[in-house]
Amino acid sequence: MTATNSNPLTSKNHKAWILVLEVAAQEVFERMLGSQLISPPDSIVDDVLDITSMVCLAGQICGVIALRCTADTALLMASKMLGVDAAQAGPEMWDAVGEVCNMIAGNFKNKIAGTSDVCMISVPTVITGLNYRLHAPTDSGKIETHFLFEGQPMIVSMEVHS
Amino acid sequence: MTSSVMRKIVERSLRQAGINMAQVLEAGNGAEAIGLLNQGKVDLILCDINMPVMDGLEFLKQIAGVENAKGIPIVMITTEGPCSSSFIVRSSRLHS
Repeated sequence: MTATNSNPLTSKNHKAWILVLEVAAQEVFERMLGSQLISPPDSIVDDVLDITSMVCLAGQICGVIALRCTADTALLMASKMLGVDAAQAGPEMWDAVGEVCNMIAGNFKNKIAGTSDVCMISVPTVITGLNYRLHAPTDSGKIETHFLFEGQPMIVSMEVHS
Repeated sequence: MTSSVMRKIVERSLRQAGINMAQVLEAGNGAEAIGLLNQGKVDLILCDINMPVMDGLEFLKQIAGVENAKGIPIVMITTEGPCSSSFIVRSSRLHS
């Protein structure tokens, strides 16, 4: 799936970009973790998602892509990526959740036609805890998509600057 | 490659593909990799592009001056391309 780059994120392309973000996330989980992401029957309550992994976009598209989940989910990601038990994956969970967000951002960027060479992504940053607010220089609204990964809640979001 | 998880995944994939590797040296960025190359030769370099300190593209420039890297194939593994693919260069050709 690809979409035309018609930055900024407006109500017109909102729907197209959220679909691209969904597909980008689903592909990463299928290919790298061997898991299908499914849509939750109800909206996810985000006050339990205490791990936030962020990757910034710069260039033709400026913004932030974030993945939010629980520590248990991050541990499961590391376990699946490395093919080891969750007990052994603990030291790698921060790296794993950051890398998953990084791959989603890279995959998303490549699906937005024309941005592959004119949009860069940062290395990932991972925040733990719930008591923070993110102030990104974005002005075009936020798109957000909710998933269940092996039954565990997860949110992937994007905010961009026009 | 910055991510230790990705380095492990790549190593596991290569071993599962039947590639016999006596020793795998890991570096978290281009500068660390150049440090390792200055200590000895390797048979193959696998490199990410998006890394802190020294990214993969700068690494490709810098490696041209590293004697131990001359003629060594380099496989760039990245999501930074239009096809999310890897591409191969040879360090001996980087001078051009």
